[in-house]
Amino acid sequence: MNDPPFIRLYKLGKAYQGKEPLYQNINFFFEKGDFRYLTGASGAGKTTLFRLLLGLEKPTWGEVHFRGRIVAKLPPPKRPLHRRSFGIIFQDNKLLLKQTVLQNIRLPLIIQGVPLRKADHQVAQLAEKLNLTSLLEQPVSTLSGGEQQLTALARAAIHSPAVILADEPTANLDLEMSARVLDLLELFHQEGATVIFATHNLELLKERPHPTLLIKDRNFFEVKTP
Amino acid sequence: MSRYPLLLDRSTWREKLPSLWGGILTSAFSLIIFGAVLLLYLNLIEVSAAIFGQNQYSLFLRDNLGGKEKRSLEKALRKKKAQNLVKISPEQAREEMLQSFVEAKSILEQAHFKPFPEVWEFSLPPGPQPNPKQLDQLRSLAGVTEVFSGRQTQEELNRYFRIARFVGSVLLLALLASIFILIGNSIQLSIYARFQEIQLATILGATRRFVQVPLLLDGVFIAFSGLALSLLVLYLLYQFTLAGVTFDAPTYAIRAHARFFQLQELALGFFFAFALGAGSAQVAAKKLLNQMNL
Ligand SMILES: Nc1ncnc2c1ncn2[C@@H]1O[C@H](COP(=O)(O)OP(=O)(O)OP(=O)(O)O)[C@@H](O)[C@H]1O
Ligand SMILES: [Mg+2]
Repeated sequence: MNDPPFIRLYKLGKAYQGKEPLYQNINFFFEKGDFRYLTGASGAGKTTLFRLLLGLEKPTWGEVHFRGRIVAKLPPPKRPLHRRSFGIIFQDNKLLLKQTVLQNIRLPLIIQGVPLRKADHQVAQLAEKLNLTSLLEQPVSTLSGGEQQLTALARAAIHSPAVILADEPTANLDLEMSARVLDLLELFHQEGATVIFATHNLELLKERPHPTLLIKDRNFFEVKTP
Repeated sequence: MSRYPLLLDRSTWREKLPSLWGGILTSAFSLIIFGAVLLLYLNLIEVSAAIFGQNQYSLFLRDNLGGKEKRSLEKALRKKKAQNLVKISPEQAREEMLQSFVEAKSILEQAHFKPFPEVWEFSLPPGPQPNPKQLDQLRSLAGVTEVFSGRQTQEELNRYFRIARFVGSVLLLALLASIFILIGNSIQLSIYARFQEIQLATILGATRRFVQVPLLLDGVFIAFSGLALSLLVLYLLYQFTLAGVTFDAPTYAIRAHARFFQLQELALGFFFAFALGAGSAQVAAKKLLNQMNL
């Protein structure tokens, strides 16, 4: 028996009420273990695609399938489990500023019922990789932008999700920090995560080639990497 | 972010105490009124039952009744199977009153009172008494000026109790409803305050239960603290009131029979507080989380 496709967009279309459709009739597959850039003009619908994958938005037309299941049709009790397959770096961070780095990073583990001590142990291990160890007890509000981004990255990866959705994780970062974030994402990719990386940064596409998906004119285009 | 610490991080729950104070104080206030009404009612029943026992009779004797007449009266009562006969002499009544005013004893001792009548208290065996005939018989005994039966007074009082019980029940229900709403409101406030946190947790895969359980605990915590606080205040009020009750003849029984809530009643109270807190938190959380549609 064949495994069901990992992520499948089937005749997918999305239009917010009273607005022009963002895209229509999209058929596309993301394979397990992919590393893809997702690009397109501001307002093209990159973040919206992530929200569709998570089941936070419903498609206007068509379906999003994850491991053979239609995301929009998951009953409420099944949604948490679905979302735990994802690690998300939000475009706006969504870090809890008053909380420490440790508390932020371990949140997905706590949510999944991992005991506190075990969670802290896991966070310590990951923090080592990200050079965050010395910051763990610091409130997020006191961190630099780059450090915050690393914290967000750590939170997205702490539970070893099947998919990492990175929404502009390098915006506002200098070159060195951007490179570091990318290194880490590539590391998580090597460890088995499927990565979808939304970005405007064309330099990045050139320097670190990966298959790229462009949203344009209500359609998805696979862009050849140079 | 709000000043509220992480809802979902159980290690910090104590820090959120300040956000619960409002709920605790307002529910404590309602519970004080609730408890006061209840306590008053319980005591009215107990004290009146003690004072006006169903088969309890008081005979008021004519002044200066001779020993011979008293003996024949006692004999007549024994024939009626009177029990627990207590003879309260005028001197005894006077002494008891003086004892209860220790501070003013010297003044009172010099004062001249209209002599108390001698009173005999006793009970008759339980049965369908007193009937008017019974009372008439007692009244017609030589040397008796007046007869009081506990049941007469008790029945009179019961009429008022029925009214009081009705008014009290309505009041108590209204108070319960208000506490339910108060706790629900506190929970809603804390949900609003932690909106981002709850939203984030939901996106990261938190179950409904994971979000709701801390809110339920908040509700229970508010109810328990409110109840404990109100009990403390009520107990102080109770002691204070009791200290104000003088030890003279008509109020003597109040002192002797007044009571605070008993252990089982307290346990029941906390059980209901648990149900109330969890219930109202559940209703509030469910309503709001459904609205948030996550
Ligand atoms: N809830 C909503 N209601 C109405 N319109 C929305 C809603 N969410 C997003 N949009 C609109 O959908 C369009 C796509 O938004 P989206 O956030 O997906 O863009 P994006 O590709 O991520 O852009 P950017 O690169 O600027 O982050 C925007 O025009 C936005 O205004
Ligand atoms: Mg976006």
